[in-house]
Amino acid sequence: MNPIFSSIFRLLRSMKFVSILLIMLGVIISLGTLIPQGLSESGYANAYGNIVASIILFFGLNKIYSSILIYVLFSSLCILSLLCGFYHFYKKRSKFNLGFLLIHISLIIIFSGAFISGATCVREYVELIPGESFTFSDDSILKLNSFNLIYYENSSQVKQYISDVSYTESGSVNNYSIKVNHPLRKHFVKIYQNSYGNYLNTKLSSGDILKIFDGTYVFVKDDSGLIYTLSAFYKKDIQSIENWILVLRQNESIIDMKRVSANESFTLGSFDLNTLESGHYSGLEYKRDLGVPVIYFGFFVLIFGLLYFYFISLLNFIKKRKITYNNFNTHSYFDEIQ
Amino acid sequence: MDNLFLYIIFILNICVIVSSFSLFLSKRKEASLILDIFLLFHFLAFTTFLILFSFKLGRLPLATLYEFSLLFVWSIILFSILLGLKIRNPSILLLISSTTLILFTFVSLLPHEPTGLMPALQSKWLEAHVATAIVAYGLFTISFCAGILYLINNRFSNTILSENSPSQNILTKTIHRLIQVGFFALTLVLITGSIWAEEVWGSWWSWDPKETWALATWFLYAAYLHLQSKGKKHEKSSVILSVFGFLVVLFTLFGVSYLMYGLHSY
Repeated sequence: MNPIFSSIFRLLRSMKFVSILLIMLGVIISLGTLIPQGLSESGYANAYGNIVASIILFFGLNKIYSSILIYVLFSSLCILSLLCGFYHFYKKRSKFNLGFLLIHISLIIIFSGAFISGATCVREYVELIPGESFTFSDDSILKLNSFNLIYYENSSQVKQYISDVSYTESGSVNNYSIKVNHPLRKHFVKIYQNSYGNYLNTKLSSGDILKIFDGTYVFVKDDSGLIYTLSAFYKKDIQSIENWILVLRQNESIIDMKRVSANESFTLGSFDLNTLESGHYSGLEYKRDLGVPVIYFGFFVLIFGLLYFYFISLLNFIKKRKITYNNFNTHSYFDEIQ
Repeated sequence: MDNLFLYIIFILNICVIVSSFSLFLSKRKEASLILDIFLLFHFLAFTTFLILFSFKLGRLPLATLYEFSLLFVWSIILFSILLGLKIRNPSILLLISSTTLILFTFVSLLPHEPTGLMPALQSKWLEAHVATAIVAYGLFTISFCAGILYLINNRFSNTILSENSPSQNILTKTIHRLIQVGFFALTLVLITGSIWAEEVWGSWWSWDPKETWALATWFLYAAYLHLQSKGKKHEKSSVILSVFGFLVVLFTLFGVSYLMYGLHSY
C-alpha cells in the first residue's frame, strides 16, 4: 500500500483518534444545551455580546443539531466504525471480534435510521373537542367521539386522559381508545395522546361563535372595523369553581379584562359577549415515520453485538478456567474482555 | 418515620467511614469485622427504608429526582459490598462511603412530596429505563472512586495511602471492569429511553438536555474503552477520562434537572 495512505489509515484506526472524535462529539452536542438554539443574531448579541455572537453564528452553534459540523462528525464516526470493525474482524477472524463488528455496524444502522426519520417523518398536531374531526395529509380522518380525564382518588392530579376516536383510513372506519403511552398504531402511522386543555365557546352579539383554547387568542373586529385579540385563560379556584379570564387587547395594549364563568353575558370593551359551554379538548399528534423500524433494528443489532461480545468472553473464560485450574484465583471473566 | 430512617442511614454511613478509617490505620481482623457489620446494617437500613417508602407511595420509587437519587445511592452501597467481596481494601471503601455520604446528604435535601405517577410515566419502560440507569450510574461512581485513588497514588507515591491501597494495576483493572458493565447498562438506558420516548411522545430522540447529556456521557465512556484498550500506553489518560465521566454523570443527573428545562423536567 502507498505509504501515505498507509499512514492515514493507521491514524484513522488509531484508538487515540477515535477517542478524540468521540469526546469532540460529546462536547459539541452538550454545547447545544448550554447555548440557546435558534435565536436571531441580535438575540445572541444581546445575550453574549457582538464578538461571541458572531463566533456562535460562524460555527453554526446556533443550530448545532442540524449543522454541517454535526453531520460531518457523525458521518466520520460511521465511516470509522465500519472501517475499524471490518479491519479488526478481518485481521483476527475470530468469533470474538464478530461482536465488535456487530456493535460498530449497529451504529451505522441507527444513524441511517435517524437520517431516514429526519427525511421522511410527517407530523401533524390537532386539538379537537368531542364531535370534531380532522383530515390528515394522507386523507385519513380522525373523529373525536369523547374525551375523559381520570383523576387520582381524593386528588386533583390527573392520572390519565383518554380519547375515544373513530379513525377512517381507505374507507374503513375503526374505533380506538388513545391514551398516554398507548398510541393508535396503523401500519407506519401512530396517533398519540399528546396533551389536553380547556376551551371556551363565546358568542358575539353578531351571532358568531368563537372557540378559544386556554392560553391562546382569536381575532375579533368591532363595528368600526378595528381588530382586537381576545385571549382566554382558564382558572380553577380553591373551591374548584371554574372561571375564565378574558383579555381584550389592541396593539399589545390591554383594553379590558374580566373574570367570567360559562353561560354568562357581559360586556368586554365595546363587545357584548355571551360565554357558552366550556370543556376539555384533546391534543392528538399524528406521526408517520419510516425511520423508526430501522432504528429499532439498529438497537437490536447493538444489544445482540454487546451480548455476543460478553458471551464469547464468558465461554473463553470457562474454557481457560478448565485448562489453567491452578490460576483461577487470579484469572477472571473480565480478563477475557479486551 | 421517614426522617428517623434517614437519620439512621446517615449515622450508619458515618460509622462505615469511621470503621474504614480505623481498619486503614490498624489493619486488625476485629476492625474488618466491625466494618463488615456496619456496611451490612447500612445496606439493610437503606433497603428497608426503600421498601417502606414504596409501600407509602403505593408504587416503586422511580418517578421523581428524589426517588431516583435514593436508588442511585443505594446502588452505590450495593456495588461497594460486591466489590468488597473481590477487593478487601479500606482505602477504596473509605472513598466510596465518603462519596455516598455526600450524595446522600444532598439527596435528603431535595423536595420529596409524594405524588401519583403522571400519565407519561405509566409505562412498563419506566422500570427498565430507571433500573439500567441506577446500575450504570452506581458502577460509574465506584469506578470514579477507584480512579481518584489511582490518581492520588500516582501523584503521591510512598505515602501511607498508597501503601494501603490496591496496586495501580488492580485499580485500573477494576475501573475497566466496572466501566465495561456500566457502559452496557448505559447503552440500555439510551435504548429503553428512546423506545419509551417514541411510545409516549412520538419522538425517539428530541435533543432534550437530559437525553443529550446522557449521550455525551456514553460518548465519553466509549472514548475511555477505546483508549483503555491500548493498555499501559494511555493508562493515566483513560483513568482521568473515567473520573471526568462521573462528573458528567453528576451534571446529567442534577445539573440538567435544575439548570435546564426539558421533557425530563418533573
